[in-house]
Amino acid sequence: MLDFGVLKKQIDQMAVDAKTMQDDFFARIDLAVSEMDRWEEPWETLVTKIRRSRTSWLVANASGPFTEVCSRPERPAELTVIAADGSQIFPDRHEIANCFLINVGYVVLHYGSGERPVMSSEPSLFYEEEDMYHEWAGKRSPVTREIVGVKRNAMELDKVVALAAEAKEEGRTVVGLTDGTLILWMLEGKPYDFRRETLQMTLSGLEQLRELRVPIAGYISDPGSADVVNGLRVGLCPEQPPDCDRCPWKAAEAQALLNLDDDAQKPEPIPCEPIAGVTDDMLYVRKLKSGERSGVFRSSSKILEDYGPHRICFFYVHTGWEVGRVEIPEWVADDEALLDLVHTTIIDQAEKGRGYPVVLSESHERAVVRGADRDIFFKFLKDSYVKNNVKAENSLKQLKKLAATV
Amino acid sequence: MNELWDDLNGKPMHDLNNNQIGVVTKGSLTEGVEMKLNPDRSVEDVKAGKFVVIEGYKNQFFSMITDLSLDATNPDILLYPPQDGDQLLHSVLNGASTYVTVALRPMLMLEAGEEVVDEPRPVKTIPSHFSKVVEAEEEDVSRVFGSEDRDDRFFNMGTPLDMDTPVCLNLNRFVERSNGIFGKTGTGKSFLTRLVLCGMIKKKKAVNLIFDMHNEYGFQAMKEGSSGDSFVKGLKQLFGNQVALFSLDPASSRQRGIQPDHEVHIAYDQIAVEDVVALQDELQLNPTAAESAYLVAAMYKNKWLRQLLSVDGPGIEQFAEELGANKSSLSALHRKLKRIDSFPFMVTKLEGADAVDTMMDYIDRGIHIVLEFGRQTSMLAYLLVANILSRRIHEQYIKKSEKYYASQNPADKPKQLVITIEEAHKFLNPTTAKQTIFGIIAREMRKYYVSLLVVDQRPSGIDEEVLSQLGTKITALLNDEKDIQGVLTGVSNAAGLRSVLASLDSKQQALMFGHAVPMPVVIKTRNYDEDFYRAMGDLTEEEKAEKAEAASAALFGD
Amino acid sequence: MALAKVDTEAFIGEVIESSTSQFVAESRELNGAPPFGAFIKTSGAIPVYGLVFNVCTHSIEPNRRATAYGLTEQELRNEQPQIFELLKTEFEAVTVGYGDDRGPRQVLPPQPPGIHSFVLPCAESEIKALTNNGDYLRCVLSGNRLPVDDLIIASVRHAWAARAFDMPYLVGIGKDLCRLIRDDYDRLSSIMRRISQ
Repeated sequence: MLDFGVLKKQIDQMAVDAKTMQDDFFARIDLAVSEMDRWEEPWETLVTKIRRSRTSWLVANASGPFTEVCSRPERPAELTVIAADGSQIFPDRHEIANCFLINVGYVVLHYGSGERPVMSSEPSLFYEEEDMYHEWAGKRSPVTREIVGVKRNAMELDKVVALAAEAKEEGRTVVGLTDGTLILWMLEGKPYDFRRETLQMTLSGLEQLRELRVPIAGYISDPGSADVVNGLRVGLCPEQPPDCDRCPWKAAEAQALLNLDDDAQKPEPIPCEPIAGVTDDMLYVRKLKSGERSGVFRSSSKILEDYGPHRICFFYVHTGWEVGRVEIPEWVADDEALLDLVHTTIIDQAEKGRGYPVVLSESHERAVVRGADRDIFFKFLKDSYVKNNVKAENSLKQLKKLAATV
Repeated sequence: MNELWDDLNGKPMHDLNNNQIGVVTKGSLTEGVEMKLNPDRSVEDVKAGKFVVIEGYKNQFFSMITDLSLDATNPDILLYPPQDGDQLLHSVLNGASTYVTVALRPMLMLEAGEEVVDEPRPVKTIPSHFSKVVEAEEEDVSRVFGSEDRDDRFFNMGTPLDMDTPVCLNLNRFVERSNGIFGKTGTGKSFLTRLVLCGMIKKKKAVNLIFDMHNEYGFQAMKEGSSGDSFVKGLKQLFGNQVALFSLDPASSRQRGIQPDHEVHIAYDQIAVEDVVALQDELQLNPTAAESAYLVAAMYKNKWLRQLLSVDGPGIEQFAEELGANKSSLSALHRKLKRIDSFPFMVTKLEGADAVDTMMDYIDRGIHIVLEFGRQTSMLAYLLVANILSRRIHEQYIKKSEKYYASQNPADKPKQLVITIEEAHKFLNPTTAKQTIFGIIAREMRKYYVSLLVVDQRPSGIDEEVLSQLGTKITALLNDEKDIQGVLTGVSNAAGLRSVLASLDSKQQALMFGHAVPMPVVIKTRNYDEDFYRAMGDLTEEEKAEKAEAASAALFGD
Repeated sequence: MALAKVDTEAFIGEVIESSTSQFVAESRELNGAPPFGAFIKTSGAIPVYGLVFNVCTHSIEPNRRATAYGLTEQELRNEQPQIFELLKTEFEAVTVGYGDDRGPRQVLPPQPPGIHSFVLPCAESEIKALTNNGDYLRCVLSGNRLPVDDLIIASVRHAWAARAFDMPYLVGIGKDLCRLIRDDYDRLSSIMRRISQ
């Protein structure tokens, strides 16, 4: 039985603490906002400082004031928005055969013409040796979930490219959207040949889109990123140039932890710490009005060094429901018309989708493989094996070996 | 819209069998058969008394419609009838939820191809479920009732309702028994009687003695139902020498331009006590008065009446004392019989031949007798004369019959005599029927070759036993429940016929049933017109002239 | 989809659920189902005849519901074109007979219509053959979860129309119906009134 007498005191304390935390957090956001405003004019100074800095975090690279705000451009009356999304059934050693499935859902919505949209999906089954086993950096290993994910992303992009080419052929104004980031984060720390192969797939897709002049954008809802705030943190750092690896405050702090002397002097707080924890969307929800976007920033991710002309940029946009992050290749960012098209399309899509781009949610709906679908898939598989008199308990590889001895 | 519907109710929807009017749904041998009327038939076209045929599996049941009723399967329909304009619902309900049940009385059963012989087979079974009921066709009628063309015993009486084929009376059977013709006033009793008489005369089935109280049969009579001075021909006109006209009132006859063949007088001595007793009701005599009459007769034999009536006023008391009779009843008898004195046909002594002998002479020669009463239309005169003459003729017939029975010589066989009496209930009421000559004739059947044709408007007044002895009854409309019951006395399954009888038209319709027809039938009686005269052998004036010319030509040669 | 292969035929739907006494078809066009109470038949060796008793348009996916947008249909087609792809129209029919070499028979078919067989509207002659008496109403009266009275009204109106609104026909059907509903006079009068309105 709960002793509410005791519990009540604790709950009250918890609320007080939460309030304190929240107040503290609001104070941080306030500070971040004022920092941003502070750098409005001498923005080149900050940009230079950032460029010179060596930070442990990703920092947004700007080519204008951080406070830049662009209002929503007009959407062309006729517009075609394309998206693809994938889902998969991962390989499962407990199931009867070693294979995986990728289902790419895709949607082509024609606005302003009353034409019927394309809304469909395309499943692909992978089971062959080269799909199931890979050799990278001289090491042969079975397919992992991560690799399936990479494969899926590539297929999504391919689908968008194919649809975009088709739509462009018909003389339409086309925008391609994908769900999530365009930056291949998982390549970090991967073998070189794996990275190259994967990048190859992505970049060739982006290149085709560039040739078609179809802007592509990745929409990230509820982004946790803090690239812009991190830039402001660089601004707060008294060091010239800032170098986190040699942060004197951090060193002092580490020293203080080692110092067991109680009455030793407390180390000075790290100067950039007061706005730490604030994310970019918190910042921009104060700065942007509905429909507006931030300026375009360059991501400082190492991976992007291999992207060449497709280096990923981003901006934040206030959809009316939230502040989302939009990632675009550099060639889109540099082309004002394409940039405006992406901006207006994102806002329009989010409005139509009541907070989330409708083309993305629909393609997700097409793509999704539910638990029931998964069960049916495996049932089909089993039935088919039985019908074809394949010994289901044997893996495909074992069967192949047996066949070879005959 | 409504015109559309008018055609719908009561018209064939699916062209099934135009002839079919329904199917048998229920039935019992005692209660009769029920039929559901086809929805395409309007109930208003189906009449009680109609002659229909039930097509059973093996038998045809010749039946009469006796009753009609409206039924509904669901009482709600009757609580909330369809609205006035709701013709659709009305049509839908018709025949399904609301339907007409028709009660049928199978009267005669014939196997396929079977012909009616003299004694029809009684109905011993009922048709099976859903047997078709069809309107009788012409050939059905002739098959059941015979046809004049086929046999001379058949006499065309009319046609069934809504049909044109004649319904015939089997006269051979008709004359075997006493018969009755009934109907309330104005429904054509005398017309029916004339028809039947014509039949018997034409086909020579019996010799008729007709007590023609209202002078309707002998010569001409007012045409039924006509308002003007339209007359129809009498028997004398139609059959000439075959009919002899007797008159009680020759002056009256002559006034009407008729020369009677004979005048009839009655002598006091010819009146027997029985004749007076028969007048009990009419004279309102009590039983003691009748006893007194017997006392007088015992003393004075056949002069009893003359003797009684010769006594005057105070002499009666003394006369009573002499006889040992009750004074007051004798004086009542005297007072009442005094009325006989006033009849002009009463004579103290007959001059010339006795009327009965003359009549017997005619009868022996096969000549029919119509006795006109002229202005002597009082009931008392009629009763008295009819009684006296009939009694005496009957006596003669008994003798003749006994002679015939003894000799068994066909030449001695008396001619079948039919005596027609009107207002029959006066002769045959329950109190007098046992004693009067007519009661005797009615009950003894054809033993002595005499039978009655009773014509009456109040059959309930006739003794039940007599009624049940009547072989064939032909009855026009009767309203009084007692009369209907009376007519149907002795008829099995009378219930159905009762409603038929009550629903007859008041003109030219009659129900015939009994000995001389195989089954009861409602007829539209034959027209009594030129065609009929011709059928009876009468000729138009031109034809007569032609015939006379031809006859003279034959006589004298060209 | 495969629909394009047979568009020479005027099919209006495709069977997606089938049983001996009822079947469900997906309409070829959104909102293009045959009217309630219409007579339809399925393609195949044994055509099955049915009577449409339910039409519904709903989201393709069971867990997604349509929401109100406050736009006209044209605006929706221009700016929210995807929603029309997310809806489908289905119609359910109660089986009233099947066809053999002698034509339509008012008996349940030996086999239910095949899934994916096409659905076509009945020709006038077929409607006449199926409705030459009230026997087909038995299927309606004995069917499960049918809006019986309204289905009778609508189907009789179709049958009646096939006979050029011939009054004696309607009366005949009314008589059959009366017997079938066991003399429920109140019901009968209501049905007949609504048929003839």
